[in-house]
Amino acid sequence: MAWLRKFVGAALVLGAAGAAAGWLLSAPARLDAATLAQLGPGDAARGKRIFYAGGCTSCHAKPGSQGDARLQLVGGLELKTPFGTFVPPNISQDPKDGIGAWSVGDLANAMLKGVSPSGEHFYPAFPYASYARMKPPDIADLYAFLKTLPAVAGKAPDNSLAFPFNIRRGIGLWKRLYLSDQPVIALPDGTPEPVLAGRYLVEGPGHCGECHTPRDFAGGTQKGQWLAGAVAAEGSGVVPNITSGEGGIGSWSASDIANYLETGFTPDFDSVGGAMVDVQRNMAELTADDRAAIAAYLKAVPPHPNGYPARKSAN
Amino acid sequence: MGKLVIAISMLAVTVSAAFADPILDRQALMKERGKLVGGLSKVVKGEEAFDAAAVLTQLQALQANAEKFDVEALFPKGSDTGDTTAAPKIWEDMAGFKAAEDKYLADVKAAVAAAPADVDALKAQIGVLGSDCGTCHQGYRVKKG
Repeated sequence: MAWLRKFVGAALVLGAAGAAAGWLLSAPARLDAATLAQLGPGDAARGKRIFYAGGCTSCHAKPGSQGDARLQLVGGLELKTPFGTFVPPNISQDPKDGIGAWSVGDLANAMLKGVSPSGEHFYPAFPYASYARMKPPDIADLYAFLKTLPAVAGKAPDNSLAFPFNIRRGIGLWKRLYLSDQPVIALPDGTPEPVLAGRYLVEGPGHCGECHTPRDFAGGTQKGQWLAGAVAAEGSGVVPNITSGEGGIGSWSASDIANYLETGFTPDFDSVGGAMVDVQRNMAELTADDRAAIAAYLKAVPPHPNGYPARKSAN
Repeated sequence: MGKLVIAISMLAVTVSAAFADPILDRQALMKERGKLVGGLSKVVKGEEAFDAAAVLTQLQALQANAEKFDVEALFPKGSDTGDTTAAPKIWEDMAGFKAAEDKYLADVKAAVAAAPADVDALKAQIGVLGSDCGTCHQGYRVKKG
């Protein structure tokens, strides 16, 4: 039985080493001083644009809010996904229930690194895997704008997740796979400025890829099918392919895309639907130049066929 | 514009032919609604010249379409399966669905009553109607690919 004892011993040592390595590799990493120094003073007027580009209110407003109530960022929406139910928290200026006590560095660490002020990982249902591509000064501007919004008391319920997704520390490993501040789509030198601006808006604050790109088994976006459409994380539907590939929006002109983002009407006279309704309302708050930039980028991304299975014939 | 009005009238005739299948029936009404709004959108975008009389005709067609949209007849129990993108929420929250449709009808009637005299006036009305489209399609429709 000596071999067995040796084997068990080796397994224990390896297991402990693995656990230690896993613990180290999963440690929350904050921004370095050089990045924090780039934040700058922030400007609320500019931050308003980032707020709408980032779609904060779609998840953090009280569910069903309309008009100015969408600026009361009390949280509480339930995102029912295969991993469990995520509940976006209160990010109003309430110092106790919201983020009124956060510094600009706290917001930057949350958005660019997915780390809370107390040093815990946030779940990537909060789309920091996209926000990580944002420029630090834009975070400072957003911070200044958030400061102008009301404080609303009230804690949203906790997430309710299945094992092993309920182990926050494990997100550290997920981040090693999927968290990057680099662009998804490499664009050649000489790419027109609107396309570059659109890439920033779509891949960064707009976090379009979070819903429009299929995910792998671990919940990371599959960059090889970027924006190809996906089975919806919530409910039974699909999120459309927004590349020019088969099933996508290749027949839409750039101005069709920009017009859709402004008015909610598709070129074939349908209207925006589902979760995109709130997104479109946010996009309507941007400038015509920003919407044109998003359209220019979407026309430039590599075409893919639909990233979701064909609809089963119902008849 | 003239051609469009004729096309719409023909479409309306097609639609008014009774269908046995409520799914086909409601889809036909929705398609007609989309075409009408689409025609008006072209005017808003400046792709078609603004003609107050033609715009009013289209708005009236939109009202007729909305008045035909009898939620109870078009969404009977059991018509949630098959080739439809109607969301289960319609039957879970029939009152909310009806209220959304009623608001749309009221807004269409208001647009007809306002009889837009220029592009800006039309744009404002279409903005309201577009928002109504979104409200219903947000919760009561599921994209199935």
